[in-house]
Parts: sequence; structure tokens; C-alpha cells
Amino acid sequence: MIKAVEWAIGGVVAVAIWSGMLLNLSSLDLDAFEKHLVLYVPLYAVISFGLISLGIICYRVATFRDCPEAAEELQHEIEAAKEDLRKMGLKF
Amino acid sequence: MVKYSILLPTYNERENLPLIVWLLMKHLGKSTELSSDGISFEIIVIDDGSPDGTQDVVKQLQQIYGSEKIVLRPREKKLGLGTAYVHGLKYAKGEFIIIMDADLSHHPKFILDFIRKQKEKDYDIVTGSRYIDHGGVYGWDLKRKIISRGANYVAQVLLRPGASDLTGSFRLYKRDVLQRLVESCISKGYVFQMEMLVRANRANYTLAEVPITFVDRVYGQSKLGGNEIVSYVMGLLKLFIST
Ligand SMILES: Nc1nc2c(ncn2[C@@H]2O[C@H](COP(=O)(O)OP(=O)(O)O)[C@@H](O)[C@H]2O)c(=O)[nH]1
Ligand SMILES: [Mg+2]
Repeated sequence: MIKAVEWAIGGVVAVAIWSGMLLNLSSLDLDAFEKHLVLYVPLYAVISFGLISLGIICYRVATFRDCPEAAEELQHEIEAAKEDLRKMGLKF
Repeated sequence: MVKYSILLPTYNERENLPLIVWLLMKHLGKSTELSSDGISFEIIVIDDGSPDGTQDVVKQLQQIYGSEKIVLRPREKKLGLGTAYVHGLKYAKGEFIIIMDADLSHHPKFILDFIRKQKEKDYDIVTGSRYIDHGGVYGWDLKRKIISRGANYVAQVLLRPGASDLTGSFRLYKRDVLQRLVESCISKGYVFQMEMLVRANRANYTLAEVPITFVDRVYGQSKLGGNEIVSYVMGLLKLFIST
């Protein structure tokens, strides 16, 4: 299925569940804190998604490996290549 | 019989091309458990009329290594990477196609890892990844790392493509798989590489990843640039609503 459609279906389902809870808020026996949670759950969801994403990206940036040894090895090979190619008659 | 065709698209790579060819000969020509007398391969250079004389260097290399080993399939003018692969593919004789950049950011030694991995489970595609364990980059500052990781994260969340490195261009494909994918892909630039893997994922081709280190080019200039971020986002959204 097309990803945009998957997301749209997910969104519709989430909104349906939430509005169902809102509509039945008075009949549900909830204390003030639980009521607050129900009212603001979309906001908290968005905020926590943002924070988790930010955390993941920061972690991945921090652990993005630098490989100076690869650059160094390449540099040595480049020198060897140039020498060898010159011997074989290549004009750079 | 040639088993592996290596497609090297070039635009102004006069300095890099002899080096990458030499490295390919060194690493693929050596005796390994894969083959005692080296891998059977050909190199297809797709040069888009580089003004720096890249084709002149190709001809010199053909004198050294033979025009069976190094095949030149030039085009008139700079027409972009995606169509360069299509063009090269027309002439490729190998059962498998390896695509890589000619600017030395992709080291030929990893091709042996690609081949080993492919054989493990007869994968349709093996792709190099900078983002997995033992992968990495050299010469990137913090800003570039943030953009790269951020852009990748957004693509992972929206597209769930089943591959960690979407914008890389160091890959091995079964020949007919690449043929079919390349025909269905329309994007340009980095998004082209991403579209290839996303469409491969949707078509249920099997894919494996191999860690690679990516060393920023030493010689010459990068040709991608300008509004990269804008075109990346646009391309990503297009894939989001179409795949
Ligand atoms: N034939 C052909 N090759 C190209 C074109 N643009 C880039 N290339 C080659 O594609 C590879 C990757 O390009 P590069 O500029 O390094 O892109 P970057 O690594 O993403 O900055 C290099 O080998 C280039 O020479 C093009 O329009 N035509
Ligand atoms: Mg490059």
C-alpha cells in the first residue's frame, strides 16, 4: 500500500479513537488528571515523537564513525598507484 | 564470460579515473577464496563529454589494461547519473552490475564484501551502507553529519524502505533487477538512488547491506550541489505519495 495512504488511515483511526473518548468523557468515570490526559493526548504524542526523534538523530550523529584510517590507507594506495601507473606509461 | 560489470559514470574525473581503475585491478585481481585468479570483471566508463580530457585518460588506460577490460561508452554531453546507468547497462556483459562513483569515495576493496554477501543468500541487491556498524565517513563536519542523519531519519520514518543507506551509490545488482528498476525510476540526483531502493523494497526484491567507509573526494569537485536539500525533500514527498 502507498505509504501516504497508510499514514492517512493511521491518522483517521487515531482521531476516531480520540474523538470517541472525548464524546464519552462525561460518562467515563475519570478524575481531573485523567481527563487532562485524554484532552491533551495528541499534543503529548506529538511532543514525545519529536523528542524521541531528536534523541535518535543526536545519538546517530554522535556515533557516526569517522574513519581516518580509511583515508590514510587510501592515500598510501594513491601514491603506489601513481608510481605504478607512471611506470606503465600513463601520462597524468 | 564476464561475471561482474562495473559501471563508472564520470564527469571531469581525469585525476581520479586512473587511480580507481588501478585500485579495481589490485583488489579484484588478487587471489581470494572467491577465485584463485581474481574476479571476472569489466569496467564500463560512461563519460559525458568531460572537458578535462577524461576520455583521453580512458584511452591511455585501455592501452595498459586492454579495451576488453576497460570499455568506453561516452555520451555527447552531461546528461545526469540516472541515464548514465541506463546507457552503461546497455553494453554491460556481466551477470551482475556494480555501480560506484569514480571519485575515490567508494573503495573497490568493498566489492569483494558485496560479492561474498550476494552469494550468501543469492540476494538481488547488495548495497553499501555508511550508517551501519563498521561503516563510516571521512572528511565530514558536524553540519554535514547532522543533515545526513536527519535527512535519513525522515526518509526512514516516512518510507520504511528496509535499507539504512538510501542515498548512497555503491551497490551490486543482479542485471535484470537493475534493468527493471532503472526503467521505473524517474528521479534525479540523490533521490534517484533512494527511489531505486524504495521501489526494490516494494517489489519484494531481496536486499542485503555491507558496511562501507566513505572518504570524501580528494581530487576534483562534487557535481551535485545547489538546492540539494530542497530537491531531496520534494523527491521524498513524491515517493511518499507514490510508493
Ligand atoms: N556520466 C556522468 N557522470 C556523472 C554525472 N554527474 C556526476 N557524475 C559522476 O558520478 C559520480 C558521483 O558524482 P559526485 O559529483 O562525486 O557526486 P557526490 O559524491 O554526490 O557529490 C562521479 O563519479 C561523477 O564523476 C553526469 O551527469 N554524467
Ligand atoms: Mg562524490
